[in-house]
Amino acid sequence: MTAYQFEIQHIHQTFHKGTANEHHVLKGIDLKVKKGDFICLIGGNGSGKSTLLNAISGSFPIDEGKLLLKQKEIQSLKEYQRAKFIGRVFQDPNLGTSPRMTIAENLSIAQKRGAKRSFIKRATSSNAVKQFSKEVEMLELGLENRLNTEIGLLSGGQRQAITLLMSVLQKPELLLLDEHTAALDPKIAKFIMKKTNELITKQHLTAMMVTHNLQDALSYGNRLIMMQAGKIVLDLNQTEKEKMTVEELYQLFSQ
Amino acid sequence: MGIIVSTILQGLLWGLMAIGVFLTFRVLDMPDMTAEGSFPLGAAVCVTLIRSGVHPLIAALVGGFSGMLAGAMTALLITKCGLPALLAGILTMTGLYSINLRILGRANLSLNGYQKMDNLLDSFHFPPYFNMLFIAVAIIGVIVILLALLFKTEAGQALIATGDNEQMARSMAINTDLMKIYMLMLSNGLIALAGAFIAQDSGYADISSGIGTIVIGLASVIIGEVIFGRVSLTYRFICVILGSIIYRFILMLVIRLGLNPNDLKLISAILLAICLALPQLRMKLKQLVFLKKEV
Repeated sequence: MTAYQFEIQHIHQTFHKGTANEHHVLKGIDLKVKKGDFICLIGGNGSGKSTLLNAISGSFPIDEGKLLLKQKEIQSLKEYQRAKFIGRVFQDPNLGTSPRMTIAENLSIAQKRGAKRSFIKRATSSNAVKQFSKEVEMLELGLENRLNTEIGLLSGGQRQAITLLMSVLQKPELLLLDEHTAALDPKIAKFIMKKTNELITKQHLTAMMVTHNLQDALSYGNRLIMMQAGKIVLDLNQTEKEKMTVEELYQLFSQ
Repeated sequence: MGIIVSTILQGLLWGLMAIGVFLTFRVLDMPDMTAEGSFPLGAAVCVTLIRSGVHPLIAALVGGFSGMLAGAMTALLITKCGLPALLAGILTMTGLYSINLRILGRANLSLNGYQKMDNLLDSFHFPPYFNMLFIAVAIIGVIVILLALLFKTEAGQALIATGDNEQMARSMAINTDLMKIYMLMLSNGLIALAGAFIAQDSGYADISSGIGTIVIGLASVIIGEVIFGRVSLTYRFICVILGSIIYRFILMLVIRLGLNPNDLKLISAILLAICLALPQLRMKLKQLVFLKKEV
């Protein structure tokens, strides 16, 4: 039996149960993710992709099904407990960082993800700041000279770059990217996508990325999944994905 | 001279309370009404203990500790029972009214003839108010330094992040519920400690002394912000204390001008409303000027 990095077993999710607004969003999702898989997840608005990502990260307790991260059940853990193993980047650049804290302070929060936070030890020691400087340099945005700038003063793109770095500063068992370039201008979106790919490949991360950009979905990752009305309707491996064109994918998408 | 020293002293003692309000309203970004109950709670516990022979410093510390329990109560209502912060605070505050009455036994309890903190320095023969002033400067100085250090630690940064962006804090594996409990305990502990100090300074505990604590606390925070602007958290603590001292001077002037002390709460409320409305009013004024130019 192959040991999967992450398994989704028959997840069901209904919102507003028993009311006129009852909405069955996830209708029995099953997915097996191998270590090092970089999955692109596409689907129309309301198909349930973001709900799936939120169900994995624990934004709400799921109605039915199991989530297995390295064979351990995580579906009953709280959001902050799952965050020890799961890195996240949100669509809204404001969600991933703390605006009144400096770049260095935000990174120090990320560096302690999953570790015990001491009431004695200083968060931004000079050693830590030196390390942050190196990490931020890798983003090639010149932010290494602005480590003491409050995040709230940065642009959306810069904030999203820092959020991306924060999500992988402690290597996550699973990285969840929820349309993380959708709110950015095309140039910075392309740049963030390139950096994302670099980080995932270099650190051999297991990642799931929701995107509306069909080209990105074909260019990046080794697997492509399409959702429709709460179900997985298409699951392409690397070779199938390489044969696919944007036009063909669009045809499938609009069916 | 005496009046100035006594005003500064009042500002310092109430400044400690204002720091407690600052921690919830600004750092945690949560309107916590518990303050109105934890302030007289600290006073009641402290005065009752002194009257039964406990050392005044220990009595004040126990008073502060009782405030931490009150904060924990509100925090549990918010985090475990899912109540809105405002309502949770009001519930605790209302409940505390009865508890405070039970502790005091009646509406007002005097410390006349009992040993108080300022009596500890009697042998130095300082001028009036100076005993308490020295004690207040020492204690509040230590507290501000400890707070400044605390918020620079790893856990302290997690506390700040919880107030600044809760979603981000949770996605960074911070137990935000626990952080809220810590912050409300710390905040109400300081507020009750201030209540204990002020009761010793004024020589009595009063059941209604909690009314308006939020307004006084917020006024100090806002005055500090308006005068000293955007500064780092460490300096913010000092600004809140300075804001509190300035607020006391404003009140003193108002009384000197011959206004009825009974109107003080109304004046405080109006003052705070103006301060809070200032940014909005400024914007409206700008638009008005702009429109006139257009025409």
